[in-house]
Formats: sequence, structure tokens, C-alpha cells
Amino acid sequence: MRGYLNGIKRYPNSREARQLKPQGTVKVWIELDRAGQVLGAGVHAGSGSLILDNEALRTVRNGRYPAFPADAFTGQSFHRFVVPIEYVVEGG
Amino acid sequence: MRTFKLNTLALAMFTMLGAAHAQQTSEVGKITVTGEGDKLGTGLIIDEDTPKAKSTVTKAQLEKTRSSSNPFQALALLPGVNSTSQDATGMFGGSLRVRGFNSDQMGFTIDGAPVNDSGSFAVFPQEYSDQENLCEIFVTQGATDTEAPHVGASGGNVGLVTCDPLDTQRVRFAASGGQLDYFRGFVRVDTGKVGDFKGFISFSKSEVDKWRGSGGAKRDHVDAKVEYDLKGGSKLSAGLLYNRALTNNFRSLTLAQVRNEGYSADFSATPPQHLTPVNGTAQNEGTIAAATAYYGYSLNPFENYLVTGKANLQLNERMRLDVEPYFWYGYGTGGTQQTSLAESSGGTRLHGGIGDINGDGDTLDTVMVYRGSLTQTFRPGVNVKLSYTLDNNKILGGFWYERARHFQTQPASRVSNSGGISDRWLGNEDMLVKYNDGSLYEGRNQHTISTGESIFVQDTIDLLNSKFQVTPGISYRKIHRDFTNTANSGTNAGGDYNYQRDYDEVLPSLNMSFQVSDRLQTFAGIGKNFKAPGNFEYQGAIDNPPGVTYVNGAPTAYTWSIKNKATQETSVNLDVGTRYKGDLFKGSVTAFYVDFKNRIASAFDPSQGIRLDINVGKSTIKGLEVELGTVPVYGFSGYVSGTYTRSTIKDDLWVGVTSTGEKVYALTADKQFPDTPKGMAAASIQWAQGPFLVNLAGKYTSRRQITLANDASISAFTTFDLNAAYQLPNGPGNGWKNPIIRLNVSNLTNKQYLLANSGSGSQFGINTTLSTPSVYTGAPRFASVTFQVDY
Repeated sequence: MRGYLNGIKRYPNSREARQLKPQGTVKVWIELDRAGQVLGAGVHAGSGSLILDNEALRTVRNGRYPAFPADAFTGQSFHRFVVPIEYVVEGG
Repeated sequence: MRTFKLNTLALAMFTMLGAAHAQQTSEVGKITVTGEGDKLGTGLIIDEDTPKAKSTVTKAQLEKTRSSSNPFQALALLPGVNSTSQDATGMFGGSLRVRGFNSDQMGFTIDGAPVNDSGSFAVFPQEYSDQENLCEIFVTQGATDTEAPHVGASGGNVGLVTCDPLDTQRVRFAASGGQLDYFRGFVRVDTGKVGDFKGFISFSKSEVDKWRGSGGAKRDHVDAKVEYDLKGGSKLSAGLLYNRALTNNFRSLTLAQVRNEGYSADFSATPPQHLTPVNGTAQNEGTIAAATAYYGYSLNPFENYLVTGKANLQLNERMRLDVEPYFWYGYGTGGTQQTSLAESSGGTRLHGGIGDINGDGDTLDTVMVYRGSLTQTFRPGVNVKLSYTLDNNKILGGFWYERARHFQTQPASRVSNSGGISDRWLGNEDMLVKYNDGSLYEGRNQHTISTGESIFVQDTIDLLNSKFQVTPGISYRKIHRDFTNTANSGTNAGGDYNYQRDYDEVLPSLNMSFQVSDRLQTFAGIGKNFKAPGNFEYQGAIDNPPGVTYVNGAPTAYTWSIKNKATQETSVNLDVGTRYKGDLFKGSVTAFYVDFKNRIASAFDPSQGIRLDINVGKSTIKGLEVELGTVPVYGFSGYVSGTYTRSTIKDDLWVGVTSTGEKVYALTADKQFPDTPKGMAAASIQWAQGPFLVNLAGKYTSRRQITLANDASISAFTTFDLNAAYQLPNGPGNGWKNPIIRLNVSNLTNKQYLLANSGSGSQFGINTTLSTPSVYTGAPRFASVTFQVDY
């Protein structure tokens, strides 16, 4: 899990992000139907930085998700997940 | 690439389903993203998704190369970049071209503050932040960013981003030594977090001898930064950069001088001797002063500081305001200062003529002096940006304003037979040459107020669930030049005049990116850029004939007219590219096309029958850039980049008329622009395992033309640099930490090669008949060792 998270991490790369270097944790939500299709996504709790909020949202929106296993979320036609993404900047 | 390959993440989610089985909502464990982003070993490529060509060097690269290196050197391996340095340490400066655009056609910023010369747009990379304090340097190869604060950038921009202060207390020491008596000491103190405050200050002292000829470079440098966290995404910060340098120049050589005097030919090591002053007779030292200059009289003393402030305020959830004032100060002189001045007297001369220099009691002599082109700049400015997010739109608007006061003078100092200079900084009037009325002698005396402004708005529109992003932008940029010449002894500058001119342009841009898959992104962008001419266009405007009539030393009758009619350069830049991000490597391919109008170059002005810096019309630049970097595999990682550039002038240039009135042309049509290699390739291979790091980097640069007519060129060359480091064990307890010893070897194979002398894009000659091109010889192998430790 840790290796995977290290593999996908990405800090926003816009000129503005690189100069402001915002830090914080964004909680984003994403709703998937049983086929893994994205029904919706949004910011559950913002970081205080729109740059980070947008980046986190973009990240989960662009994911490709597999269908739910048959025994998962039985009786639910969709499910909502909340993903906390923490952005930190290393000084130096 | 912004897309998750989320199969694994989804599995992780489903793993948690046991606990969340009956719930409508499940929380996934925290994902941490660091500002370093990816962990590509070489530090020469990042996870980019800007919808236009952009390349970035990160700290991972900067911290393994020689600490004294300047930003031009740091960018050398990136696609599109042709950069050179006068020596291996970077302390003497160098040149940079990107897609054929010279550094004075590109906008440079440090933490968002512009640092090009406010008059000529020249860039002096050796004056900027210590490399230890830089976290990244990026180059936008074609289109200048809409919000970037420039009026002199027709060819993209370069940004230096300094590292933030650390959250934890630390003291870092580093000491370097090497060939040519190279020494560099560096200390940086980080306060760590003290409540909501943190800061750092660093000091460095560097020295090295020139690799050819006599003399060297000395640089003292301070960087500091403080931050105050206002919480809620807002913060206040301030930065300081102070630099003081005293540098001997390297001599530029013609190709014949390289052949005849040798690869290491330089200025003279022996001070030229004055003639014995004799009252009542004329001593003429004109020939002595015109000989190859003494190295001590070809100096670049320079002092500069930059103060930046930032208020980054999150006004509410959707709106942010950034107010970023800055103040740049620069003072220094440059060029080869060895020359001679003719004494004279009489009320029909400016200020009664130049007084007695050699102290023999008469004003009959022509005396060798040290005369420098002194520049003093006071440059306050501010960037203000407001961003607002509304659904899928992110709107960014703002303005930039600065008012640069730029004093350009040319005083002269007496020199002794032992090579001593009364005042090498040319700042102490008591020690400088005077006119007979007691006023200070000046070879030029001009004051320019350059008021730069831009207003801009840009919308970033997310469509198709963020898969398609469209960014239209528009800026209006203007510079007002208010140029005042005070009568001086320069050519056609002996009367007072004031000239004012505006240059402005509306610059639209449209950039788009499309996420084809979770690994593949395409992008396309088109943008218009512009660059105003330099203020040097207004020098020497006194009409001659008839010249100036002086009465009691004051100019009374003369006329003036600005001879140079150059208008602003404009370019339209088109980028189309694709980026791939895989598990093992990421890379990009970008095709570019630049349509250039009114390019400024040295050319013949038929209306006046003289050669001037004027617009030479249309030209195009097209090419391809490729870069690819790998993640570490068993400690090995690599990076390669390649560039093909075809940069051509459309037409032959009119260079004169024959005695019978027929036009004479230089054959420049379809010729490659000077110092723009058609091909470049770079590679960096690295092995990092445990405490060891070994990195080998190579760069191939193809043949470069050095005249517009392509009748002189310099050969292709390849150089290699080696960087190696070993991390020693930490000290006991809370003692020293992270001790590292590092070896840096430049030009490993000791290759001899030539570099174009291209201080400015407009300074190349048309052909070898009209002017003799000059070059610099490339620096030989150079090795240095650095030891660094933290407490």
C-alpha cells in the first residue's frame, strides 16, 4: 500500500503552485456505481488552498476503478469513498 | 499526468469494505504527496502537466552538481537549451539560448520577481541565488506565461524558485576546494518553526582563478527568507538576496587569434606603462592603450540586492489574493576599461575640456585611463494576482507594475604603472577624472525611467471530468521609456536631450491539454510574445554634422534625432506535444513553430546609410524536443533529451549600395540563426545505492553559425561531467548529521571547443566581410571536492 501511494503521488505543477508551495490535507469524496463508474466527486473538507483542493479532486476524478466485487456493498447501487490526501513541501 | 492508476487504490478501498460493509461511506487511508513529487533519480524531469512546453531541474540535480554553478549551467541538459559558461565554476557568467532565443529575449524571475536588466534585458546568472538554496529552476521554452512580469520576453521565461525555510532547526556548513585555487565556504542557519514563524539566512564566499590568463573571480553572497503562517492557507513571507562580486573578464578572440595566439590566449599580464609626463609637451598614449588590454583593466565589479515580500491571502474558499512587491538594486561596471582620454581646454569644449590627467600641468596629453560603463539601477515593482474558482472555471487576473530608474554613466579613473586603479568601482568622485570646470568626466551620462506594466486575465476551464483542460489568456503589456541624456563626452552625446517612447502589445494565448488515458496526455498551445527594444537605442542621438557648439563649456546649439527606429519584436509560438507517464519512465515529445516578426538585429538602414540595430523582418524557428527520464532500477536511473532546431531568416539583408547606386545584399535568406545548433543531445546516467552516488552527464552540441550569412561557424563538440558523492555515517548522539563528501569533475575528457560570443541576440555580424566574429575558448577539465555537514 505504501509503495503504491509513493508511486502515484503528485504535487501540482502549475507556475502558481510552484511559487506558492501550499501545504495541507484535502478530504475528497468520490461516488462510484457498482460498475466502477464515477457518479460524482467533490471536496469533503478543503485544505485552505484551492490549488490543492482542485488537484486532489482532479486526481480522484481521473481514476479508473474496477467494478465492485459481488459481495461488497451488497444492496447498495453506489458507494461513496472519502480519500484524505496530504500535500507537504520539503524545505531545504 | 494527473490520472491515478487506481486499480490498486480501489483494491485498498475494497480491503476496507469489511469494516464499512453496511455504510454508504468508507474512508480510505491517508495519501501523502510531497513537493518533490516524483522521485526520479536524475532530477531533470518532473511530473509535468502544463499545457505547453516546460522543463524543470529539481533539487535532486542541483544538490549533486558544483555549488558555485549558475542557473545557465543548471539548465544545460534540458531540451531546447544551448547554454555555455566561461569557466567550470560558473562564476564568470555565460550565455543561454533556448530555441535560438537569447537570454535577453527571455524573462527571468527569482521567486516571481523579474531580474533582467531593466534597460537592455540582459541576464547575469552569476549574480543570483546560491545553488544550495534553490529548489528548482524551470524553463518555459516557447510561450511566456500570461502572468509573468515581463516586457522583454519574446522567447519564453525562466524561473528560479528558492527553497522554503525548514520546519526544524539546522545549521549547514559546506566547504569546497579544487583546481585553480577554487574555494567556497557556505553556511546556512534555519531557525526551524518558532510558533508560526520560520526563517533561514545563508552566507557564502567563493573564489577561483581564471583558467586562462591572469585574474579570477570573487563572490560574497547572502540569501535569507522568513515566513509567517497566517493559517487557513495564508502566509506572509520576505526574502533577501545580496551579492557582491569582483570578476576579471575572459578575453574574446577572433578565430584567427585562436589559431595564432593559442587556445589559452588572454589579456596581457603586464601593466602598460605611461609615458613620462613633461610639462609643455604632448604625451600621446593612444597606441599604448589600444594594445591588448591588461587583465586588471578588464573587470566586472558588481553589487546587487533583491528584496521580495509576499502576502499570499486565502480570502475565502474560492478566492485568493497574492500581493508580491519587490525591490532590485544593482551597481557595477563591466567590459574592457583600458582606453585613453585626450586632455584639452577652452570654453568651446564641453565643461572647458578634460583636465590634466597625468599631472604634468598641461592639458596637451592623451593619457591611458580605466574607464568603465557604470550602471546603477533602482527597481521597485509589485505583482498582484487575484484568483477565483467558480465550478469548473478558475479565473486568474492581476497586474504588474514597476518603475525602474537606471543611471548609466562612464567615469574614468587614473591608473598607475604597477596596474593600480585609483577607484575600480568608479564611485568615489574625488579619485576620478574631471573636466576643467571641476565637474566629473563622463563618457556617457544617461538616465532612463522604464515604467513597465501588464494587466492579465486567464481562465482555466476543466471539462470532461478534468480530462480536457482549456486555458485562454490575454495580457496587455506596456513599457514607457523616459530617456534623458546629459551632455557628455561620448560619441554624438555632447548635448542634453530627453526622449520618451511607449511600446505596448496585446498578447493572447490559448493552451489545451487532453488526458487520452491515465498514462498519456496531449497538449497544444499558441501564444503571442513581445519584446521592447533596449534603451541603448536612444544613445548618441546628436546630429553630426553639424555637431554641438559650446559657449563657456555649455552646449548651446545642436540638433538631435533618434537614429534607431526599431520597433518591438513579436513572436507567435505554437507548441504541440504529448507526454507519457509509465511505471518505469516518463517522457515528452514537443514540436514547435515560432513565427517571428520584426526581429532586431544589426543591419543596414538605407534611409540613413549607416548600420544600426534595426528590425530585420520575418524569421521562423521550428523544431522538435524530446525528453525521457526513468525511475531508479537497482539504483540506476537515466535521463536523455534531444533537440532539433531550424531557425531561419526569410530574406536577404540589404547591407549597402554601390557607387553606381545598386543595392548590395548579404545572402542571409534561409540561413540558420547564429549560435543556434540544429542538433543537441544530452544524457545523464546515475547510480545511487546506499551512501554512494555516481552520475555521468554528457552533452552534444552541433555546429553553430556565428554570422547571419553563415560564412563562419564553429565546430560541434561533446563534453562530459562527472558527479560523485558519498554519505558518511552520522556523528554520535545529536552531533553532526548527513556528512557528505562530493566530487565534481567538469569536461572530463578535457575537450577543446569554441563558444560563440553572444552577449546579446543582436550583436552578431551579418558576414565576415562587414565584421569579424569573435568566440570564447571552452574551459578545460576542472575538478573540485566539497564536504558538507549539518548540525
